[in-house]
Amino acid sequence: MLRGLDTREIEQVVSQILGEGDTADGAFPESGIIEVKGDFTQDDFMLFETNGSDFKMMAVDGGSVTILDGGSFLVAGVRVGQALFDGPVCDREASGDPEMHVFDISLASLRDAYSIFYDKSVGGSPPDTPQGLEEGVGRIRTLMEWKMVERVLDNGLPSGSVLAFDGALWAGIKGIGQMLGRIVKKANEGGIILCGISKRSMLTHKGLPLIPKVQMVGDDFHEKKAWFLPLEIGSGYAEKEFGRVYVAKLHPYSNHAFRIDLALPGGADEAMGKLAALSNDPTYVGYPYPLARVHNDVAFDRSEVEEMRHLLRNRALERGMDQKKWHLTFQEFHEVLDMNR
Amino acid sequence: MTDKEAKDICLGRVTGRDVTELVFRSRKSEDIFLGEMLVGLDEDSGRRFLMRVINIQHGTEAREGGWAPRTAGAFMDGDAHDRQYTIYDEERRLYHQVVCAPLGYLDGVGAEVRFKSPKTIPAHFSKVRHANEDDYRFLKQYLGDVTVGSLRSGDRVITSVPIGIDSDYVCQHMGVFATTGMGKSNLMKRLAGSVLETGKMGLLVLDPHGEYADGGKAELKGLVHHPKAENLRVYATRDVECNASNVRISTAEITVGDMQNLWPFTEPQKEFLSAVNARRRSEWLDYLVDNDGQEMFEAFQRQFHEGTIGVVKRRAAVLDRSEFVVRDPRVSMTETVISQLHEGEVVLVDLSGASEKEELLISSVLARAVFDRNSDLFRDKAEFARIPPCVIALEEAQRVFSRAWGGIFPQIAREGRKFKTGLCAISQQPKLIDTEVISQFNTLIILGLADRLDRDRLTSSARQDISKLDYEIQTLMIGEGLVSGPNTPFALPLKVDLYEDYLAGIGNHKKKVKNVDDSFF
Repeated sequence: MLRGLDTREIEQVVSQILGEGDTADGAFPESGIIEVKGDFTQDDFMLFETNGSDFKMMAVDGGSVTILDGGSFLVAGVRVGQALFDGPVCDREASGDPEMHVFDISLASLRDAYSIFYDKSVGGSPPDTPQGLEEGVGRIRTLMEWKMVERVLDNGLPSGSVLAFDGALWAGIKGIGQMLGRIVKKANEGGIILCGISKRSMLTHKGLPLIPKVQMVGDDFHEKKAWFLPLEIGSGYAEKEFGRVYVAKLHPYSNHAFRIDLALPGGADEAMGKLAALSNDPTYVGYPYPLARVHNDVAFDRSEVEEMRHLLRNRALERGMDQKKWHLTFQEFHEVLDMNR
Repeated sequence: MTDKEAKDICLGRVTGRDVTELVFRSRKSEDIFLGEMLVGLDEDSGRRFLMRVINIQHGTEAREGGWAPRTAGAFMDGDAHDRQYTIYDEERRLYHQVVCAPLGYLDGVGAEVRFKSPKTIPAHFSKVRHANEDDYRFLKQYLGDVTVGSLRSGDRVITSVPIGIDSDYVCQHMGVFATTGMGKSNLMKRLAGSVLETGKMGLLVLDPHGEYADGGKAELKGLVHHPKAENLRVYATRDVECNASNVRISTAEITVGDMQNLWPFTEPQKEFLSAVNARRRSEWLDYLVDNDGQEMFEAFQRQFHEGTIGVVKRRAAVLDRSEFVVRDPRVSMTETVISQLHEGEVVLVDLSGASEKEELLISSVLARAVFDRNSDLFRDKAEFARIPPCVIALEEAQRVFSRAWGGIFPQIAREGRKFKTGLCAISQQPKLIDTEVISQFNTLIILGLADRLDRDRLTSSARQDISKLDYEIQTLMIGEGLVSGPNTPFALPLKVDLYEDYLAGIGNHKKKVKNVDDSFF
């Protein structure tokens, strides 16, 4: 029995899931929540084959975590990394170590902290300020990811290589359009397939999440096949769009389809074929393994967070902070409540 | 550093557990085998922790349980649909978790290296590597001077580290245990070969299957093919491919106890035997054979039933009829055998032409003769000091060791140590040997044993804790074994030399066996 539940609310939520509710106002194109129009026919779906493995793929991703929460301020960690695969083999040396930053951020210092990272990646001052601490950390992470993508291009990849990152070719942060334009230009000039793969997408169709809907239709039309569907998203914000958007299932036996943004010199067939070539790991069927690897590389696990806390606490105590003060600053009464529930 | 160089140096890193068991992570591609000897390097203390692999498990980086079965399911699905999957980053995501039994650690450097029992553990994440010759150097003092093979590390044979038994401890008895076909006979030939070379003990080999003299089969070599066969004496109950003397024992050397070991006797029958023995002493057997039942019935004042006397007499007659049993004590081989053993020679008694009862009888008589003589010599300190230890090797030992008391062999097991008389009990069924007897065997050579009860019996009796080696013992291949002795720091893994290879190594020329003076008989 769920105490205090009003079952009418369950009905309302289910109606929303079923698409029975009023969804007209659900789209916010400026924020990337875009309603895709029209229906999908069998001819819209393109079938493709894997494209060998004689190419390089660089994958870039980032991760972030709250290390300490002092209420009015956070201590956060952000880490971005890259993984270079030469065919199916990871080149550990060329992949290098991930880049990690630890910083404190409060509402008072948010603009300053954000400005530092913005300047380092985009250059200049940011046109706006994040609305909260969590958003601030998220934006910093995104900026670091873009910076790493640009650095990869600057360092050079052979023509025909794939540069994949976690996300979309969409300027979701004010002021970064110029940087994205620069990145796309460098990729095109170098013959690099620049591609963003989103694990979650805010695209909708008739008010419902687009990707599962496309996947159902695509699998009905092309059972046990790899396919992709080009989309016309028509956001109305051309200055934020930097590539063509697709939904693709990269492995015939995968249970997952992804939004894939491509900015490329060649056709989508070649790009999809190359992504599919490295999407046959049995654990991550249908997802390019290099991205899975870099995701795991940069993700923070609990032991790392504990280690960071320990390190910070020790240094603080060494530098004269009182143990009790440390405890009072970072104690979290929810933990006490939860522990004794 | 290349991957290969890194592998040569480091097989993995210690991940945890305790003083009774250590676990380290190794690469999936690393070839590590059960029983392998490895070294955990504690860089803080400089200690080298010797450890033996007792189990190898699969490990994965996946945080969630059930990853491996799910992935296997994906593979199977791929198989069904002719789709190939690839595990990327295999070396990173898949690994081996190697469980080891700590053997002890080496403290100090150079000549100051000391081996200490495993009372502490290596530091977290200590590197693990293969043990090398320098690590084994400390073992020299424990390896035994009568060699039978080489140190083994898993499947690898360390030929530079010979292993054997210590002649100083042979009188504390030893047991050789193995399932049929695992190499007992080869081991015994190899051991006898070493005795022929060194003369460090007298070795009496009682061979019921005729395997030792000429090898028993055309493709096999025997002791007669040994370059030092001049130190070999052969007595045989059949024709063998060498100059062999006849097996003869006298009725006077046979005791009532010997007879009781051959057949089950009722209490009245035992009493009758005892009465005859009391009255006729060493002639008890001749008396039983030479007199008819009625005479004996009367001679013992009708105290024993005629039927009782009849059974005992019939059995006595069986012994008397044996071609190996003679009336004249001067014809017996025992005196010669004893003096040959006292010269540090190998005396092989091939009993393959005898019945099982004859074989047991002859074995008992010879063993008693050696033991009694050595006990007598014990009173003469100078003479006793002159004789080498004498070891009696007995096959199918479970036949005489099922009880701790009764018969000459259990007596030697209890008292032989003091009188330089050792036993080498060979058996494929140690579970049938009395625990008290087995506890007297201070050196155990264990080859492959399939039966859990057999292994349990040895585990409870071994000088070192071999309980963690149960799986290794099960998986031992032919000729592989473990030696656990009073002087070994831990159960030493052994690879017994193939006797034929050993002969080839020391120069394979057949030597003529010295003739025993047949005219003596």
